[in-house]
Amino acid sequence: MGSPRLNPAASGLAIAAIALLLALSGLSWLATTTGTQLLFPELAHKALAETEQVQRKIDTALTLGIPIEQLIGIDAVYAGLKKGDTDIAFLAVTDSADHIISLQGLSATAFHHMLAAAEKTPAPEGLSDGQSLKAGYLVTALPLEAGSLFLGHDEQALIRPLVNNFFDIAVVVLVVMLLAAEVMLPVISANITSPANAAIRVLKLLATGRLGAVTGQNTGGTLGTFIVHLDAFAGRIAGSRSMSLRSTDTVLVVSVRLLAFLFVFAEELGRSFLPIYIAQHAAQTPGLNINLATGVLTGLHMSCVAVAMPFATILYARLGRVRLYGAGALLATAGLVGTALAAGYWDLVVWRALSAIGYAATFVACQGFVIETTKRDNRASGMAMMVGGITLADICGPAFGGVMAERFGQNTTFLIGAGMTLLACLLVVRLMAGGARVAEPPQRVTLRGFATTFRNRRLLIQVCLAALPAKLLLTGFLYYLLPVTLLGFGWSAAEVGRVVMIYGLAMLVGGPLFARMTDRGKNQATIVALGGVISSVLLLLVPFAPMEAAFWVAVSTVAALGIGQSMSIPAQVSLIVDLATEKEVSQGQAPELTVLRFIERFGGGMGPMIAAPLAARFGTTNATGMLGLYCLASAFLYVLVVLLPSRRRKATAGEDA
Amino acid sequence: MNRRRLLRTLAGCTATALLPHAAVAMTSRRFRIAMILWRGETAIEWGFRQQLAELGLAVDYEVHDLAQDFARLPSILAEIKRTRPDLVYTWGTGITLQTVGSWNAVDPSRHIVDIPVVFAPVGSPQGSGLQPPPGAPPRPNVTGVSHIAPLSAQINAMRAYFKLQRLGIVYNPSEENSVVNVEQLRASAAPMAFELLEAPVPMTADGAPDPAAIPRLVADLARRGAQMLYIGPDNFIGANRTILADSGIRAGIPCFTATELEIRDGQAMIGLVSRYEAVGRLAATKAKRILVDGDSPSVVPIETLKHFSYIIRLPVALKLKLYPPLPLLDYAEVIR
Repeated sequence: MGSPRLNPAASGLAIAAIALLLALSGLSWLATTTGTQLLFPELAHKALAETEQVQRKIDTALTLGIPIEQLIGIDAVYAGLKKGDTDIAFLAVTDSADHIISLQGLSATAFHHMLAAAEKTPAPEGLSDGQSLKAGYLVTALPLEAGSLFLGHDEQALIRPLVNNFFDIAVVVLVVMLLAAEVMLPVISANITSPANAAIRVLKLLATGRLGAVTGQNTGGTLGTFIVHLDAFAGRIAGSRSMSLRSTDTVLVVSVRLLAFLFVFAEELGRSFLPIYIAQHAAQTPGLNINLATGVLTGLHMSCVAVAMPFATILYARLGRVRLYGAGALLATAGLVGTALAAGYWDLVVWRALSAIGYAATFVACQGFVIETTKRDNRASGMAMMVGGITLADICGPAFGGVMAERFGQNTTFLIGAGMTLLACLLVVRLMAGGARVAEPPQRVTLRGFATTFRNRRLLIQVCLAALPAKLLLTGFLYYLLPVTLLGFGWSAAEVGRVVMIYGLAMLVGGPLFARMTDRGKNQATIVALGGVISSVLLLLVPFAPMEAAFWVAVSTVAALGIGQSMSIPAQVSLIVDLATEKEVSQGQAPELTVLRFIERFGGGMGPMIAAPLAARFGTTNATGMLGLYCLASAFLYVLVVLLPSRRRKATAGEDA
Repeated sequence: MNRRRLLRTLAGCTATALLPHAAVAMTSRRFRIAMILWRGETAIEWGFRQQLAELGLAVDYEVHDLAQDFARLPSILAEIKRTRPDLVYTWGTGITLQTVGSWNAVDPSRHIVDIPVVFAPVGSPQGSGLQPPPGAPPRPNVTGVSHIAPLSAQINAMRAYFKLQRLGIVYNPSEENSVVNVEQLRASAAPMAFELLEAPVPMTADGAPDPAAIPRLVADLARRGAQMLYIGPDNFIGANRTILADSGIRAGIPCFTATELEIRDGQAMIGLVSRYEAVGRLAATKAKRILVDGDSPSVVPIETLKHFSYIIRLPVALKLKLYPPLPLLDYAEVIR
């Protein structure tokens, strides 16, 4: 339109989003404060129980005739308590004359300062006799046979579960917002943006004196009435020559976003705990090496997707996109329900494979849908629309799934995923129907494609030193080693999910940023190498990081992985398009690209299969370091093989000129 | 899931259905067990009888009590050889050694070689020569139970009480049991980072160890810095346990023991011991394997218990002002 006025659709969307955000925030605030009131007495009760346990122990010793000043092993009792509850800050035993007999975790000055401090008023509900909040501690004081006992908990720790709750709620709010946006986008596009744009075009044509066009839109409401009148008017003028403006394909392309979002989201829900879920089943099945079995099955999904895609592409031509997507979504539903209810390892293998085949089918259907409903000039934006849906699902899925697993159990989380795919199955008839029915299936990986790729030495180097290591790192580290390590440290699935989410966020922010940089700079190979280094170099530190630093190490490594990969992936695609033999590559349809995607996916499946035995032999943190080392070495080799010779070539070319 | 559960249930039903037959098989025969005892029946024999009864075995016991007199043993062995019971139970190292001989010195004219023998309690089956050393084939008719915790567990038990650096031992150098025990302690001193202070009891003119020397030896150990006196499987020290413990208390050194008697019926301060009843029950399961399951004693392992009791004699601890640490009170049995 070119006018600075606010797009009505955008402002409508913004108003709706703000309203939703306000409503959700209100609800979340209510949930958090209610949680505070409900949880605090529980925490105070736990503190009391711990103090009573120490009291019983010391009183036993005192009644045996051991003098209080001769009590031995209070430090060991404190250490044992602290192992079970890290929020305990100090333990003090005083005699009848209030002399300190033993003081753990606090200096004598700080202890006296604490005793002298005023109690926090009004005292929160749920405190028992002898409990008070003072000097930043929840202090539980109990009498002994001869003397007194004080156990202090960090006051900050009392709100820790509430902070965790807050994060859970924030994740749910984020997911609900994004899901709402995904649902609203096609609805608004179909009912407002698209007919309005069509009407504007018809009016513009009329204004310039070109008669004969009608919008061909049929939506209800005020806009619909206006359009019906407009079409009737335009039709009367044009008479029998009237012709409908079929520019509605944007509506369809927008809907692919939701469909892509749904099937990826369903699969990503289990991301934060899948290895552990598989390991539990492997442990129940006799005769299995649990580590290997877990690694293989974690990676199986991706490899299965790679293998199933060519078949799905063949089926696409026969079934068409709606039926293929529907069949895929049904298969994925069955796979996810089976995953949730699996009894042992081997049936889990079948269900995961089924779910992967469904994933491949829906993916191909979406891809084909974009190709069919777009023309050459808007195909890239159509693909971007689909990738946008997938990226959002990558971000929300692990975090939301983690929260669900923590609240309702891992099995239920897979069932929620199954509900999503079933929903997609019901939606597809409405969302994918209509539009052009051009028989143009997505390109499928062929032997000839492989031959073309493998003949191209530079392409092969690209695949082996850049694409494969990147994918191995993603699946081996992010999908396997990271969850296994963090869950092993006692993290909840929700916390792991939030860390995994960072990868998607980094990709979301970094992707467009670095894509522009790649286009401008033309130094793709450098960016690929730099991306490889950034994504792997921090992993080298993982084996040496103390457990206390786990949070920051996890966040920084995952963020670095996301940034590194969002740098290198667009650059890789761009390089491969440059290296491809055919010129039909502008739409991402070069056989080399298809082969690259196949190798990436199939190789990606190997990530967990390699990581699992490494972790079993050397521990997860050491395995992470080794994976990082491999990728860093690949990046350096890439510099040696690709970057340096090309620099030299350029230099020589410069001299020649 | 259902199929697996179903299979498991089915398997469970089958096993239960078989059980009554097995019980019938056990009770259908009466067994004869000869017991050779040192000083009448103890809690060990009570546990032995109780366990066999609970396992459904009907047993007729022939009890031979030496009343602490080895001279009675040859005639008992002759009678056993004549009447041929199904199994012989022997009490302690001395009786067992004289009943079956050392593993490399078996004399069929004196020893029982063709009737299964189950022994309990023997401090060090291998050290005393009852059990062949590792690598040698097991004995065809002998198995049994040791009541002594592994040495490392004993040292750790002392360390749970206080930081042990120097361990003293007064022992009878003419008793093989005891010598073997001291050798084992010596061997574990360096790896477990403690110093072993030895005080062999001198002999009197007639060649017997002299109990009167014990107070002087203990005082000497105290002077050398011993923090704890170790009472091992040593019949002489066992008989003179009161002199040893009292001397220790006078010198400010507590006693540690690996046998129940020294702490229940003596003045040792701490003990890591097997309950006698549990020793008897473990011996009974070995007897059952031989009698009912038809296993040869050579395949029934000579074992010690998996769990031991930590006992603290509180009056001694209070008198020595060596108070037990709080964490110990969670699991130790305190004799007040």
